[in-house]
Amino acid sequence: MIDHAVHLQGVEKRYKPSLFGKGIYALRGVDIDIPRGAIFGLLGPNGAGKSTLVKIMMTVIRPTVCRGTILGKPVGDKSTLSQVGYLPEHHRFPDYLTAAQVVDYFGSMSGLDRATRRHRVPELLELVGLKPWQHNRIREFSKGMRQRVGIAQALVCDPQLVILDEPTDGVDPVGRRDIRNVLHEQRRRGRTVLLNSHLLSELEMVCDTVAMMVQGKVWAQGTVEWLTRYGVRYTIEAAPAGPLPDGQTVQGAVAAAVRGLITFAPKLSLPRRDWQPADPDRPVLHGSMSQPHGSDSVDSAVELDNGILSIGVADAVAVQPVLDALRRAGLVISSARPMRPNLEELFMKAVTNQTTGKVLGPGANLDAPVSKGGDAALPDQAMASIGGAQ
Amino acid sequence: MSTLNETIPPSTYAPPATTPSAAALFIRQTLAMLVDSYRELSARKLFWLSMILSGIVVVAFAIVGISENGITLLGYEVGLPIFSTKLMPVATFYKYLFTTLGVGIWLTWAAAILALVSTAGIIPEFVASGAIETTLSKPIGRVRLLLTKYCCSLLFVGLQVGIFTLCSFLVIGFRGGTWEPGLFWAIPLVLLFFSYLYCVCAMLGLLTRSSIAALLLTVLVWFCIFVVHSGEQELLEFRKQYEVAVVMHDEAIVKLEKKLADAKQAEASQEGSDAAANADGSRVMSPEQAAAAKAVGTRAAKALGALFTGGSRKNAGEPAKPEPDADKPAEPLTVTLSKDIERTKTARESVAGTRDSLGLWHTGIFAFKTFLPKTAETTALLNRGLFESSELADWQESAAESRNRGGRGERVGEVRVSQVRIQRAMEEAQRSRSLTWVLGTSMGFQVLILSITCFIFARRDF
Repeated sequence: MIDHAVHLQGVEKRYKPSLFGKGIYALRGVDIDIPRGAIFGLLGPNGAGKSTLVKIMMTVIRPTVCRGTILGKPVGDKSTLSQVGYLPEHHRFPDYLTAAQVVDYFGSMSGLDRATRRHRVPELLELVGLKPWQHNRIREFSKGMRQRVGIAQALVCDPQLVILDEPTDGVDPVGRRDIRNVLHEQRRRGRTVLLNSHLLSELEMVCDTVAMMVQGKVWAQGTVEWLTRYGVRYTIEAAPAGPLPDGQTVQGAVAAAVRGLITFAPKLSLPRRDWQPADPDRPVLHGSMSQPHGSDSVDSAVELDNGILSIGVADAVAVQPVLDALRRAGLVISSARPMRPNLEELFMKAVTNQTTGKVLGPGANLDAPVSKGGDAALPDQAMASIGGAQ
Repeated sequence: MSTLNETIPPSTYAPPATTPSAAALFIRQTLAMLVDSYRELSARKLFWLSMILSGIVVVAFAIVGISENGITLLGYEVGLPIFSTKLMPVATFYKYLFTTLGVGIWLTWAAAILALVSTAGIIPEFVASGAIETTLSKPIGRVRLLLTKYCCSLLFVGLQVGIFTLCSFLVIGFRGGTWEPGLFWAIPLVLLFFSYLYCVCAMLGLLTRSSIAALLLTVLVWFCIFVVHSGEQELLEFRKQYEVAVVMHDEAIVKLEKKLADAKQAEASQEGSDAAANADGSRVMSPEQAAAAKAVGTRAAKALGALFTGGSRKNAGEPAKPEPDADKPAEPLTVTLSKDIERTKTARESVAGTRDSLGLWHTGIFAFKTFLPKTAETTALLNRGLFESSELADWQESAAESRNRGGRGERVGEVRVSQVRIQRAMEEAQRSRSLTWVLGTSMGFQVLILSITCFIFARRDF
């Protein structure tokens, strides 16, 4: 059984309707489990409820419904917070204080004694690269430097759980690398980190587990590898060995070579992705490929774009007939490899209404149905928590 | 398939060996907030401006003195004989200067406004988005957090009043020759006075999250408190004036009735001697006798005038009743006195009616004022502590006489009520207001406002 640093069940936050506005759900029954020692990424579009969830954990916002524990104690227990470090988004520290005074002040507020603070403050400022400016006032700092001060104050009490809301906001690439190193160091020491960020590539680099939130719900939760395996596709690049006859294209040659195996839809001008604009100069062929599955057969989606075939199968055996057909047609196969979607593709899938192709807006009205899964749900297995029955 | 069981190393989590006790946590957090408040204040220019101005006021105290002829500046006499050592001891003068100018004008008006301007932004900045989240995420309850911040914000005034009082204590000690520790009551009293306003400012700052709005609305509340207080004081003065007037009418009636009885007795004895003279055959009054009788009537009329003043000759001034014309034939004294008694009684009823009406109005406004903070009364407690009730009486009497050309006072009904007597009655009324009423009700107001503020703060989502 996995030991959870954070275990939340059915977290709800409703904002009552104001005089002229509608009430909204900021959170609609969020379940999240964060194992101890993991770096956990929380991602989602603006207004998905990420910051609200974090603020509920830090007692900044009062939940409408909340069951669960943080470091083994009920959510809202103030004594737990001495073991939790928090960097809020768009934080504003008192600008009349120096960097060292800010870290020292929040250390005192966390209950650290003077002796501990005396050696911890310079250590942390050195860790975030601000030692030379520790006696400068915050008002003289750039945004990136303030962010570093924020990280130092979040770590001042040597917390068991670190919650960072957009920690790389306004930080240059060198600073981002430094922050990543700090996070890895926290993980190495067995600390749990909850990272809330829009920078999906950053999250992909450091997170063990992520949860995607859309409109106040967790759309998917699991390891990055586990979540993206459902989008694995084989891509095959092939081209004729010599020059093509007049009027023939690589696209046409490949389509003709696999015609017996893949059935293409007659419409040729569909966009490559429904969230991307269509490019009339690069018509993409969409089709399906049948494969045996036990006594039955299943269809896998296929795309053909500029001679590159993309087949929705993860099994290399399934694409062998296609490779054979391409070779028989005299085409040269330059590459054939499985492609795993990245977090951004997964993210875009999560935030896009698959029917209309529109990006989902923030929050949800109070009268919106509360259902399991988002508009564009992953396979059922992906909805299960990583701590569940895998 | 990769799962967390495979990717994450076994947890090395171990809870901290020692966690601070609740008391240690409380002390560390409170000290941290106190130090932070000092840093916040010292970063404000207004704080230092106020301190400099306080210094100037203290220096002004030091260069002012009194002599037998009046005020002196750096040893040079500048007049104003009302402040002289003949009327007031030097120590009393400095204490009077401290309470009237130092506390009454500087600390509770000018410095209080500067302090409000300087501290009005503390709560709005404290609860501003981006600033409050980090503090709320610390192991400290919201109510304690807000109350500690509130108390730390009062540090501004505490420091200012503390330093000002200490310097004044030294000035009075060296210049006045008396070391008066009672001056240090100014620190808690002025702090209390400011806290009445600042609790309102804190609540408005939390509600509006705007320094300017909090400041302006607090000044408005202060103005309303001032208006109610001034109204109450005016009504009290009128009430006391009419109460004193009623008493003076009663005294006048008693004296007139005594005079009437004497006059009747004199007339009776005169009639007795006339009857005897007539019996002797000498019925006709000689010219000398007639002149003597006229003179008796005039003296009696003059004596009446003195009665209407109701006080000593010093306070009496002119008689309310016009002097009878010496050329006209004198009315019999008993008739004159009877008429005067009737007139005085009628006037007394009228004055008593006005007194009752004023009393009703004053009781109403006093009851309303009970629910408001007593800003003026709180700082006036310092006078009660520093001066005996009779310490300033002689000087106040002299000052009133000087202002009123002999302290004749205003005419109410058939009497003139001296200002000194009203002032004494006012003073008695002020001193009769208990500490429970002055401080208890004001603290009650503050507790109520702070409770509402804490309730809002504890329930708000940031």
